[in-house]
Amino acid sequence: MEGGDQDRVTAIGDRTDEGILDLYFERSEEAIEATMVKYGALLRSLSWNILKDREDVEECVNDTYLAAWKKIPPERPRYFKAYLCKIVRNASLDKLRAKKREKRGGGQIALIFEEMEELLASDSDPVRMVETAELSRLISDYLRRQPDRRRIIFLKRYYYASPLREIAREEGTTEGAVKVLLYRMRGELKEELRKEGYGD
Amino acid sequence: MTDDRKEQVNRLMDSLSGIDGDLLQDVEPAGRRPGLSWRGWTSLAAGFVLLLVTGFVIRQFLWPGAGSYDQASAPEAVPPSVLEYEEEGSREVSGTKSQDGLPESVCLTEDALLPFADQTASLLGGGDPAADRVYSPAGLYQALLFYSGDPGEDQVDRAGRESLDRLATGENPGLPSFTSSLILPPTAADNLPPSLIENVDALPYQILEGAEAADQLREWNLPPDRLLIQQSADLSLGLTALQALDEGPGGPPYFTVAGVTIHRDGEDGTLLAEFPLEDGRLFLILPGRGVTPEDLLGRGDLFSSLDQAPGRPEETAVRLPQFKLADEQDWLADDLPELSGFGVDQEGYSTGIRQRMTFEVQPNPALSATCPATLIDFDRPFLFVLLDEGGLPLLAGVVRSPYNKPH
Repeated sequence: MEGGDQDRVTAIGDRTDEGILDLYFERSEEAIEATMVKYGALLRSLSWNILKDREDVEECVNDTYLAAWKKIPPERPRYFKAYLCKIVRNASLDKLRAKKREKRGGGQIALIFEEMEELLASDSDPVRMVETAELSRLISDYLRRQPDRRRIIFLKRYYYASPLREIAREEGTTEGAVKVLLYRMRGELKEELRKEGYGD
Repeated sequence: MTDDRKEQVNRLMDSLSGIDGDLLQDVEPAGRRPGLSWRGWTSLAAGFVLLLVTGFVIRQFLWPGAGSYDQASAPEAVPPSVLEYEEEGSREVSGTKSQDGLPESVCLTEDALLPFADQTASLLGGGDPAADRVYSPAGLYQALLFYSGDPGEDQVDRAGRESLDRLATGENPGLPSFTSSLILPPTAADNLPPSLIENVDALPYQILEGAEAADQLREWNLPPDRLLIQQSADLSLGLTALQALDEGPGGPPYFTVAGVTIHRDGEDGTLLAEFPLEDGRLFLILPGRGVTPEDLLGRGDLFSSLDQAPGRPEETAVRLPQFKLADEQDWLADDLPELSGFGVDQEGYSTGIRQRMTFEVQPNPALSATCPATLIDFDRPFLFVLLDEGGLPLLAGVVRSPYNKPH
């Protein structure tokens, strides 16, 4: 990359989320470029943790840019990063299901699915299942009450599908300690969901 | 898991996507930029002594037969599969599974090693596009020899035979950080083919069985039925540096090496740099402008192209970031099965080859000389290859996060 291009990329990458959203509203193609520069690596990383397939990841990330371009405007997300992550995460999960490849990628995403299954009641009744949006709210409420460290570890594992080893390394603790913490949090969350009528 | 529960888990996963955005603002995926860690300049003094004669020592472990590998014998064309290789008019084809799930006929030959390294290296082009990577082709080759079953004379060539024989002696001088272990879970013990059991006895792997194996697999968060070869190496390579500078707080240190042999590809500007080592050969490959490491890896000739570099060699100075990579991968769980014909799932167990490699390049005590007026700057993603003096492909990888050039 020549010096001029580098400077330009740096300038694009320096844009605030509000600045990028303004570009979308102006229908400037620079909006996509700025999104790629600022959040491309994050989106690829999230998608990669789920799919473990380079082509699939690129497809999901590109679909995310397209979806953002189509939806903004009229939408103007308050949290642009979370907005993009939600799109790419859903796209990646959809692709994963479509390809029925849960066991790939060293079993990481399969393990996460198994861990999430612990949140379900032993004898589930679909009639009593709450809607997805309501479930999102319940999980958000639970996480909001957690200390930052607990919230961050939970989201790294279950939102970004990060390996336990990497989480432990970044948090300066052991895999075992992270596992125990997540086990406790799953138990707490399961109880919260039960109180709200999810499951038993 | 029933379909109903699968649906509910899917709903839970989907629900997580919809959590309030503010909860995510300060959270990133763990290990998003793995591997590249810039050492503080203050720790350099302690690191100066770490010139391990990597090629020699690993070779003692993985490939003790001196001169057992002849690069000149490498074929020009890369075969369609690393374990499908035509030799002396006969064609051994792997991938035909026997009743025990292992290939009936596997041809791991001396001449097959280089194509094997080329093709496994091409897999580095996939994966997380932001991640630095390092792996050992020789280690993979050796592990596949084990999984291939009976390493008889008709199936394994002299080089492979010598490797197995020397490994059987348990010789591993001078490199305590390079270890190989076999995790033998209870589910596999009763299902292993006899040939594999013979190999277990023949190789000096550290063997973990029973509860010990189960504990280890649990600790690594792996399925309890995984028959796993685990290889670990922690290698630090020192290069004699001309000059070392610190970018300041938070910035990456870099250093300059003189006397580097450079080949320039006139077509795309890719540079091949060979660094002087006492024992072995280190190559760094800097893609030309507009060319990515993935482009080069996609050509499938990373190793075989080293001795066919275009252009006249010239000697110059090179400026490098001081880098340390750490990588971990279960190769049989990813792309290698498609390439090798080996499947992961066997009856009662699944196989794995897990490599945990770290590779560090840092300056040896800097000489008090001025920096040359012109030098090649490795300021963008590049590839590296480490061979022993006999050409054994010890390590290869890609550095995708070199330092940003100071403005």
